[in-house]
Amino acid sequence: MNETFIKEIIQGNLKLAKAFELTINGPGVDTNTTEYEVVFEYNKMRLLRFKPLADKGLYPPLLMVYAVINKPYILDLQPDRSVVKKFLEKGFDVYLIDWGMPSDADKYICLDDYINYYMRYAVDHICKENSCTQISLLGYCIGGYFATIFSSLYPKRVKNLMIMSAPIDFHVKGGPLHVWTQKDIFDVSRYTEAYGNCAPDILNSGFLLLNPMENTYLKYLDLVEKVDDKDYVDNFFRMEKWINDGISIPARFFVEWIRDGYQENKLVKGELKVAGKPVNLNKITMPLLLIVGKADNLVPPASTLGLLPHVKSKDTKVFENPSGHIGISVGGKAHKVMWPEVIEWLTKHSEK
Amino acid sequence: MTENSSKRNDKVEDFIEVMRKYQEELIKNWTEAIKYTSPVSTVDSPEFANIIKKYWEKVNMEVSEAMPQIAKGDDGSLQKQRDLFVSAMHAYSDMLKEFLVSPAFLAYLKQSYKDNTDMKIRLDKSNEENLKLCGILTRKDLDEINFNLYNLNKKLDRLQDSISELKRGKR
Repeated sequence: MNETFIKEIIQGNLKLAKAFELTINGPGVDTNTTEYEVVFEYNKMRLLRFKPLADKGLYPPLLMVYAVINKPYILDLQPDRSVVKKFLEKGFDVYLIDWGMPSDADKYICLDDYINYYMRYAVDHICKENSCTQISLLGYCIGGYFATIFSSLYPKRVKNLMIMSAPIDFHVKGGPLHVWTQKDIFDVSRYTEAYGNCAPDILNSGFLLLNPMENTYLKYLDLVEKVDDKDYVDNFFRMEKWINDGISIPARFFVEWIRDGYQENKLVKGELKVAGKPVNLNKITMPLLLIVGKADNLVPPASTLGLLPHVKSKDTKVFENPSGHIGISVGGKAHKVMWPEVIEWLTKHSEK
Repeated sequence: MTENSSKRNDKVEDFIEVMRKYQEELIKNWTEAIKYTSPVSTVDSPEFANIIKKYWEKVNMEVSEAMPQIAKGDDGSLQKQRDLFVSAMHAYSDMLKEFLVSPAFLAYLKQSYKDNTDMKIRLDKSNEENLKLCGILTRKDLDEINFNLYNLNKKLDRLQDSISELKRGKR
């Protein structure tokens, strides 16, 4: 055995011990560090308004809508990679919906509630606060699905629509989720009859299986390898905190989501109704920006891009980032290259 | 025996009877549940064996190609071993990904969803019946209350919306 090999083994063991200690005690990382105030509450939803970081531009307020699966602070995970902060620094007035943690008492919440009450009330409040009639909307993941539906039902309220990694066409190839949730395999109504709300652990197990080794063993191997790099370690544990900080999906919405989305693909077929009202994607005529991650296997890029053939917007733009579903909001490359371009696009489309 | 102590004894007997029924029901349901969750074997399916074979051959090929470099025992050999390990891990991941959408796994998944939900529904039903016997609110009762509250709140919101619209109309 040569000397290098022995040194490698000793160093490897030291790193392993350090990583092990960190995974038990954690380095204590801060998340969602940008200052905000809660300006509106409805049931468990909170509408956050971030404190300005630059002179306010003459732009419509920007409302960010994240999924009802995890907490929305992924958009403000760390100061140097915060989507929220990036917009604030350019003078945008940024609002973010925090859906809160549904309990068993919220199991009857459905798509109608999210669109026609939670979101509409949030938009009403923002417009009232800013004496305006329109907002710009940024929807991420299921939040993008919501933003799309909201823009179809209330097109006059939305000046610009941006959706990122949003499942729109559920039947595209690329991810296993629609295979695992097929109608003849997964009886979602019976599932919610048995378990009520869909617990975050169930969803997390499904997400882990999308990249089984990368999301488990290899992830920790990387941590061992880079355990002396403080930035890497902090980022790792911020992400771990967020991943394990999931929220339950209300049972009734979970049924709608699986049945109308993954099983019947109603939105792009023009068959989706919210409180009896059809959702026509051709009502979307405002400037539209689509952001996708090429390596996203949770929401394959084609699923988000599947919106384009159905809308009437004449001004559309697509940003493709090499990252995956989460990397799009926290990845170094996305923040260095893509987000400045997204902000430039919104600035240009926001000028009155 | 006084009248009071006789009443107390009756109550104790009632309680014992409720508990006995509860135990009987519980044993019956667990027995059923175990029957329901008999495992469906996927690991020994020929489909899985074929998937394993494909990736095993791939990793073996990489190992045999890398052996001359590793045999040198120099610094480069260490890196090569490391690359090989990572490559094997990715191959294993790809193998799992292929398996997780294979018909054999999907059949297992379907059975597993069904068994788990059936078992939970049976246990809930049994708990429901026993809680009723003890005169305690059940999940179903709470669900009903929650549903009524949800509908009431929604009606209130609609009313408030209508009032706001009327006010706007007046202006």
